[in-house]
Amino acid sequence: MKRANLQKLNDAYSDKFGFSMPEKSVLSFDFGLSQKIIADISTSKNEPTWMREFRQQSLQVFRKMKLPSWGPSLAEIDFEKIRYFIKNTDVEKKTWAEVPDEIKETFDRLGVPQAEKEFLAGVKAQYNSEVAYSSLQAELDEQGVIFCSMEEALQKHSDLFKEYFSKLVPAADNKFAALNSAAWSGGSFVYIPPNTHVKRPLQSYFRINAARMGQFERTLIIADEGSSANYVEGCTAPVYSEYSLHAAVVEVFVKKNARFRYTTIQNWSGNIYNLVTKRAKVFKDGVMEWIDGNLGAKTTMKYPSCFLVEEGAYGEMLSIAYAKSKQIQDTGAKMMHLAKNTSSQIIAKSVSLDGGQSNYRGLVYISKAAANSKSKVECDALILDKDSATCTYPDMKISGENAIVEHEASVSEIEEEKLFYLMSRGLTKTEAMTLLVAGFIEPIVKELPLEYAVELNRLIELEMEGSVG
Amino acid sequence: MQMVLLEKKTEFILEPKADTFYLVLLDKNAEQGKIKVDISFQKPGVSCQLLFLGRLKNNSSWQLESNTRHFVTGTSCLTNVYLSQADEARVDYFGQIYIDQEASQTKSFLKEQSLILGKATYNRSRPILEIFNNKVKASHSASSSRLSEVELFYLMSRGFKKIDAEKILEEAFFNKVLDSIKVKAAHKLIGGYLC
Repeated sequence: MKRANLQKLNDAYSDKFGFSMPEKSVLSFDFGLSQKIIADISTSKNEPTWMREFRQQSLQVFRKMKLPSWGPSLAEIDFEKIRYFIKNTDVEKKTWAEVPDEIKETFDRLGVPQAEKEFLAGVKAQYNSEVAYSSLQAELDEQGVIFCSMEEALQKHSDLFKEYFSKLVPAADNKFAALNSAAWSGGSFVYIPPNTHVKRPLQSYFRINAARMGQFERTLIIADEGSSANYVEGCTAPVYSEYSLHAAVVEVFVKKNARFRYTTIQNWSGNIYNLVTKRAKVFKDGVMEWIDGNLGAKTTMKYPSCFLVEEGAYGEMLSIAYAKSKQIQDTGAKMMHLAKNTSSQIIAKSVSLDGGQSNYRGLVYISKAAANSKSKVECDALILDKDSATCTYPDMKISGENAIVEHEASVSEIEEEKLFYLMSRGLTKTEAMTLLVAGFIEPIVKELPLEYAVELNRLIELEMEGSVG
Repeated sequence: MQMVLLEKKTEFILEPKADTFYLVLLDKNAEQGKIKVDISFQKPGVSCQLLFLGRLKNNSSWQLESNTRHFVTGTSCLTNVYLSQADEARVDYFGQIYIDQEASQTKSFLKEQSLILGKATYNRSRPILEIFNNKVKASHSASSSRLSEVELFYLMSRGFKKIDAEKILEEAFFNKVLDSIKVKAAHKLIGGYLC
C-alpha cells in the first residue's frame, strides 16, 4: 500500500475514532462514590429493595478491599475523581428515530446502524452509562430469546435475573468487581431458551464519552440446555487527556450441551484503565469460547475464565494483545477443571511495539475430581523493537488423576528472512512488517465475524504506520 | 563444557565465567526438599545448561526454583526439569527466564516435563518469561502427563508385566534427556542415580 493511501487511512481513523461529542447529559451525579450516590443510582433506576441492599453492601466490600498487589500499577486511579453515573437519555429508546441526533451521529461514525441493518440480529448500543438505543429483532422474539438492557431485565424478568445475578462473580471477588456491583449501570442481559440456536451474532457497542467517567456495565448471559449463540462486543472511545475507568463484569452460564461464544474487540483510547472480570460456568458437555482482542486502553487487566463444573465441559480462549507506546496489556485466561473428562485450550498471541508491554497471565487448575482432564496452552509473543517488552506468567496446578497439561510459550522478533523476502517483492519495510504481524495473529482473526476481522486488520495497519522504519 | 554437581545446599547463586553444565539430582529418599538455583549471566558469550532430575515417590514434597537472568549479549542457557512422580509425590516448580534490555542475541529455553506415575500426585508449575529485548530467542514449555496407554499396551502385549512395562517407559522418559547431554561425566552420575 502506498504511503499516501496509508496517510488517508490514518486521517480517516482519527476522524472516525479520535473525536468526542459535547457532553449533554439528562442526569448525572457528582464525582466520587458515596452511599448517597449509590442510593441515587438505585432510585433513578427504580430498583427493588434487594438490589438497593446489594449495591450498598458491595460499596462496603469495595471500601474494605485493596488494589491487587500484582500486575501493572493502578496507583494513579483516584476513585474520588470518577463520576459514577451518567445517563444520556432519560428513556431507553426503542426506535432509531427517537435517538437524539448527537448520539446518532456518534453511532453513525462508528458504523452501528449499518452493521445493525446488514449483519446483526439486535443491537444494544451503550452510550455512556445506559443503553441509549435498543432494537430487538422479530426473530429473536419468535425464538423466545431475551436480549435487553440489564435495567429492563431487572424490571421485567426479575426472577430469572435474581437467580443468576452475581452468582458467578460475587462482589467480594476483587476490588473492581465490588466497584461494579455497587455502581453498575447498563450492559446486556441475554437468555437463550433450551434447544434454541441463534444464527446471527448478538452485538453490543460500548462507548465512554466523558472524561473521568467510570463505565461499569454488567452483562449476564444464560445459554439454556442445548442452545447456542454468539455474542459480540466492540469498544472504541474518544481520546481524552484525563484518564477514565472501565470496570465491567460479565457472567455467562452455559448449561448442559449448550454452546456459547463471547467475542470482544477492545479499542479504548490510550487514557483508559480497562479492568474487567469475565467468568463463565460450563455444565455437562457445554462449550464456552472466549475470543478477545485487546488493542486499546492505557492498562488492561483482563483474564476471562471458565469454570468447568460438570463432566465433558470444554473451555476455550483465543486472545490477541497489541501493546504500543505507553500501553500495558496484561491479559490471559483461567481454566478451572472441577469435573472429570473436562478439557480446555488457551491460545494467546501478543505484539509489542513502540515501547509497549504485553503480559500473559494465566491459570490452569485441575482438581482431584477432574480425572482424565486435558488442557493445552500456547503463548506466542512478537517484539518489534528494543524499547518494548513481553512477559508470561502462567501457573498450572494439577491434582487430577490421568490429567494431561501442556504449556508452550515463545518470544521472537520478526524474522529477517521473511522481511527480506517481502521487501524483495517490492513492499516497503512497514508494509512487510504489517503483513507479517497480520499473519502472526491470523489464527485468531479468522475466528472473528467478518466486519470485526476487517476492522481489526485495518486498525493494526494504522497502528503500524509510523511505528517502524 | 565443564560439569558442576549442585549438592549439599539448598540455595545456589551462580555467575558462570565459562560454559558450564549444572546438575541437580533430587534425593530419592528425602521426604521433602527445597532447592533454588540462580544463574546470573554477566560475562558475554557464556553458555550454560541446568538440569534438575528427580525420581520422586511416597509422599515426598519438593519446592524447586530456577532463575536464569541474562544481563549481557550473546549468552545462552537451556534449563531442563525432568521429574517422575509416583505415589503421592508433590512438586512445586518456579522457573524464571529474565532477559535484560542490554542482553541482545540471547537464547534461553526452559523445558519442564513431569511423568505422573501415582494416583494422588500434585504438580504445580510456574514457568515465567520476562523479556525486555527484541533481538533474542526465548521459550518455555511445561507438560505433565501419565504413561502412554498405547505404549503400555504394546509392551504388555509382548509379554511384559505391567510393572515392568512401566519401568521401561520411565527409563525411556529419562533417556530422552540423557541423549541430549554431551558431558560424559554427567552420564555416569545420572546413570547411577537412575539405577
